[in-house]
Amino acid sequence: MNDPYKVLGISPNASEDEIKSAYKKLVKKYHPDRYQDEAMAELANEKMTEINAAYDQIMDERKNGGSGFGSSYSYRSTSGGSSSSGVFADIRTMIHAGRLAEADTRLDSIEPSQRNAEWYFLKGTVYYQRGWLNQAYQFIQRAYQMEPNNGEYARAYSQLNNQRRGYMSSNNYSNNTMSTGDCLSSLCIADCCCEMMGGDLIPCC
Amino acid sequence: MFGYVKAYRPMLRVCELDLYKGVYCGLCKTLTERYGYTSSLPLSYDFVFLTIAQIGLNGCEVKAEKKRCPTHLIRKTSCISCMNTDKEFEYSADAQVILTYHKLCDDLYDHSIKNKLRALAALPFYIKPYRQALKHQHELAKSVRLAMKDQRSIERSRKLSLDMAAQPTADIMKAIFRQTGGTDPQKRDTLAEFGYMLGRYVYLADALDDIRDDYKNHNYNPLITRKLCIMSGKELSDEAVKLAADKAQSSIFLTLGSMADVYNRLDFGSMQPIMDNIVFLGLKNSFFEVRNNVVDKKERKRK
Repeated sequence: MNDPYKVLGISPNASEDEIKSAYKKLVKKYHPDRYQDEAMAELANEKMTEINAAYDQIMDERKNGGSGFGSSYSYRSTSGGSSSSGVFADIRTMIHAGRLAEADTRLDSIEPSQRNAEWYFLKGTVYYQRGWLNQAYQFIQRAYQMEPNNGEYARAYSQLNNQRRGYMSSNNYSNNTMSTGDCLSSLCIADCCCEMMGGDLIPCC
Repeated sequence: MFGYVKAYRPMLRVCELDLYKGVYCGLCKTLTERYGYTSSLPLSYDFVFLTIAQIGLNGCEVKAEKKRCPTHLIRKTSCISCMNTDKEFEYSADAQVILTYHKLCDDLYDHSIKNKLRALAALPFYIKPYRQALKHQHELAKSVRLAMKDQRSIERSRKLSLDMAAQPTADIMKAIFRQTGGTDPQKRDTLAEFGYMLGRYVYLADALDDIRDDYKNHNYNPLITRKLCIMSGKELSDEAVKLAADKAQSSIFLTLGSMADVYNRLDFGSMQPIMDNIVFLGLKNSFFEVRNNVVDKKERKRK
């Protein structure tokens, strides 16, 4: 198969925004609806299939790493990072930018002895983003057990637990599995979020 | 897809139910016209969901016509089609043919003789339609083929990770739904995620549905752990099934919760109410149907 980066005309280091804008540009150029001539439209259609496949492949590779299933299980233990907090900050940036494969490799390269609660939390986040939810649950549970007082881990853990009990967000039908306790904690979280953005939901706390 | 993605009818409005049935009829017509009568036989409501999703995403206008068909000889049924384009229905039809073909190929590897023979008997009817569908949806067929290969190697390795076992089915649905995003990169990514979660749901529901048969026939099923085997003799004991059902339930709920987050980022226009019904009520409801069937009855009714 052709190199998907060549198809889109970008470098392998391109950011997600660059990929998207390159893709959009090509779509504008090759959209079959632009061509009146049947033979041309057919050609454009083929080109579009190729562009779509390239885009999808790049997005998948960034998420899951190159070689399909199983690759996420191959732990590579090269020498670990020295200042772990800096490493974790880097990894967070990667996760945020959608570069999950890269983040996962970095996480795996950290020595087992240095794997603290944050490591488990980030690993769980990577799994969650990839859709490996059971694995994600286990890692986030572990992070929570190691540092129960950390608000971030507790929030993530309680959200997953709500989901496991059948909670679905903005469900117009009833979400009767949510208990009062969960409601209260969700309110607190909503308040925290509001405060973070500068507003306030519950003025007294 | 295996018939787990369907609406919860008691909560559908009458107009929505008409639309729901009408899209089924329209899809069945498209399948018959494109691939012949036999291809329309295994049509399930899963693909109606796919069609409705596309109609909503693309904002097509629909029209209803009264039509007669071989299964409804006496009364004409109302049949939905899109005003200006057929591509929504055609895409669902193509996807249905590709999936049915691969499902049959996969059944050939089943350990039960009955399933093997059934697949062997049906397969010849699907070779020609599959070749035709391949022409229209080359990339999709490729993704499905790769995922089926993964599925077989996972089955051979007998790994018990639910995440890993669900991956191939999830990947198939991801490929199917991603394509419905058209040329909007953001939509493509979101729909891919949505499809992945839907596929996970379908796989887990199917795994639970088949658990008794799979145990008897020594088929691979990630829900059958060593612990369950110790608890049961020749057939799975009821307690073992209950344990597996609980495990499947928490995994499925986790999946649905995550799916809802993705689903809320999508806009299905005029089809939003019916989509909401399926996503928020239908999926849970069909899982509970499966669960009750499996836990209560020793023998599963064949669909």
